[in-house]
Amino acid sequence: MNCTLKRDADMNEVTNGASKSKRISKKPQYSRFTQQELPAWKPILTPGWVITSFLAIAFLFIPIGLVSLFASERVVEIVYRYDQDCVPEMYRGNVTAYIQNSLTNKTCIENITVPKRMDPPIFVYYQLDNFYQNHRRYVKSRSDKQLRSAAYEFSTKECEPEARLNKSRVSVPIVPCGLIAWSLFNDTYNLIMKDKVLDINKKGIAWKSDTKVKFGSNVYPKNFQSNDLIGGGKLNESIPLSEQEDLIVWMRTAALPTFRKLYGKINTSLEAHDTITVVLENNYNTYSFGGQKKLVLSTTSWIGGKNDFLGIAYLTVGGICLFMALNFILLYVFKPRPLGDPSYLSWNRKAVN
Amino acid sequence: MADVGIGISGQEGRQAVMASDFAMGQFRFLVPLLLVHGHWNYQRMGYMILYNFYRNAVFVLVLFWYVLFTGFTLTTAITEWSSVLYSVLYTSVPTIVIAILDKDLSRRSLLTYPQLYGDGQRQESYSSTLFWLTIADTLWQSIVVFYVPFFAYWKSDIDGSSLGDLWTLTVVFLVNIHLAMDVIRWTWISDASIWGSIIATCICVIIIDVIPMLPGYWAIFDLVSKGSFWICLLGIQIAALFPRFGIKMFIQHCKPSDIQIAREADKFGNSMELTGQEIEMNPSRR
Repeated sequence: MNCTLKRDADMNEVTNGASKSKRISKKPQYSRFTQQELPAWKPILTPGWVITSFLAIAFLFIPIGLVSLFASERVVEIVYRYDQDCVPEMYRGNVTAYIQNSLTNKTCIENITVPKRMDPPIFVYYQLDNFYQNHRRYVKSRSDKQLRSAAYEFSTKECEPEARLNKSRVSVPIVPCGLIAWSLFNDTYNLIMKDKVLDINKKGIAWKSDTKVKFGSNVYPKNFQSNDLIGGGKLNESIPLSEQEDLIVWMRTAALPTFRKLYGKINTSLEAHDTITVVLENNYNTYSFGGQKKLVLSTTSWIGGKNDFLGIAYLTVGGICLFMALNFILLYVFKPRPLGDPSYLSWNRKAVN
Repeated sequence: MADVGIGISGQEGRQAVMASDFAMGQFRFLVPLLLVHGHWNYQRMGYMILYNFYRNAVFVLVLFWYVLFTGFTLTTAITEWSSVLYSVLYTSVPTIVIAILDKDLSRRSLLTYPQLYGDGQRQESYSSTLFWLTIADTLWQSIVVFYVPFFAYWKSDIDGSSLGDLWTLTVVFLVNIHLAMDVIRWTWISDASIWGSIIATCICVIIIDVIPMLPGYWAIFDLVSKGSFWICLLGIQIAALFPRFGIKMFIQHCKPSDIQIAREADKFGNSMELTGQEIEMNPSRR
C-alpha cells in the first residue's frame, strides 16, 4: 500500500510539473512527546553522590535523634496503677460483683510521690490498657448527625443496640446514642497536696473543633444510661453536649488498645519529692475483661509525652547510614570501577575471558 | 519472553496483517521494532509489574498489621474514602506516566549495539528472584510504615482518625518517593505526576477531614500541630528506603548490568567500543 501511494505521488509530481503537490505520506505529525524525545534529566548516581547521600542522612538524623531523645527525657511522668489496689480486701475474690454493685463504697485514697520538679501545665490523664476502643462495631456505633444538631435526634440507625429506649411503650431515642457514649469513663480524681486541693482545670480539654462544630450547643442528653445494662457514666441533662468535655474527649476513639485520655490540667508547679494524695472514685468496670486503669500526671514537650522510641530510632538509622557510608567509601577505594568502562559489558567480558 | 506475530502489509495484500499483533509497512522496520521498542517495552513492563505489586501490597499490609491490634475485628487503619482514593488518585497517575514514558537507553545506543537486546533474553528486568526480592522489600517497608507510628504513639492520646491520616500520608509519600528513586529519565511530565500526586493526596486528606459528618473531623489539623508527626513522616521515608537504596547501589557498582554501563557511557561520553566495529543494520537517522 505504501509503495502504491508513493508511486502515485511521484507520478503527480511528474505530470504537474509546474505545481508542487503535497507528498501524501502516512507518517504521523512529529512531536517531541509522541517520539519520546522530551528534554529530560538522566541522573546517574556516581560513587560521590552515593556517599554524599548516606553521609547527609547520617548528619541529619543523628542530631534529630539526640534532640528528640533529650526532649523525651526532660518529660516528667508519674504513672500510677490503681485498679488492683483500690478494691477493698473483702471483695478481691469477686471483683466484678463489687464494681457492678452501686451500693459498695468506691472511694479510694492513695499517695503518690513526685520524682522530679514538674512545671505547669501538668496534664492529668487516665490510661486504659487492653481496652479496644478501635473495635470495628464499637467505632461504628455512633451518630454524628445526632450529636451535631437537635433536629437529627431520631437518626440512630448506626447506634444499635443503644439507640432507643422503650419508655411506657413508646420508643424514644437515646441522646447521645451508641456504644461509645454508653461506655463513658466515669472514674473521678481529686488531688490534695500539703492539705490544699490541687485545682484540676477541666475546661479546654477537648478539641476546639469538636466543641464548636461536632457537638451541637442545642443538643441535650436524653434517656441516657437508662437501660438495664449500665456501661459507664451518666450525663447531666441540663448541660448541652458542646460543653460536656469529658464525653467529647471519650468519643474521640483511641487508635490503639493502650491509650490515655485527658482528664484535666494543673496550673501550679510540683516540686520534687512532694507527696500528692489522690482521692479517687473507682467506678469504671475494667475487671470483666482484664483491662487496667492508671492515673498519669505528665508534663509535655514539643515531641509529646514521654517516648524514647523516635529518638532511638533516628539514632539507629543515622548510625546505620554512617556505617554504610564508610562501607561504600572502602568499596569504592578498594574495588573501583571506572564509569562507563566498556570492558564490563557482558559481551566484552566474554571476549576477554 | 513473548512471542509476537508481526505482519508486513505490502503488495501481497493484508492477510498477514489481519493475523498479526503488530503490522508494519516495510521489512526494515523490524530492526527498530525489536531492538528499540521491544527493549523499551520489556523494561517498562517488567518494572511496572513489580512496582504495582509493591504499591498495592504495601498499602494492604499496613491495614493488615493494624488488624492485629484491633482485636482482629478488621477496623480499617485508613479511612474508607482514602482507601478508595489511594488506587484512583493518590498513586495511579505516576504509575501510568512512568510506565509509558520512561526510557532506559536512547534509540541510538540500542540500534548501534544490538547486544543490548540480550538484557531481555536473560530476563534481567523481571524474574522470579526479582519478584521475591520485591516482596521482601515490600514487607520491610510496610513494617516500617506501620510500626514507627505505632511505637511512637503507643501510650498516647492519639485518636484513630489522626493515626489513620498519618499512615495515609506516609504510605503515599513512600510509594511515590520509591518510584522517584527508580525513574531513569525525568521529563516535566514525570515531575508533574509524582509531585502532583503527593500534593493532590495532601489536599484530599484535608478535604476529607473538613467534612463534619465524618468521625475524623479536623483530625489532620490536630495532627500537623504535633512535632512527632513531622519526625515520623521524615524518618519513615528514609528508614523504609535506605536498605533498597544501599543494595541497589552495591549491585550497580559490583555487578553492573549492560544497561547500566551503556547509560554511564552515554552520559560520560565514553565509547562503548572495545574490540572492532559492529556493522549497523539500520543506519540511525541522527
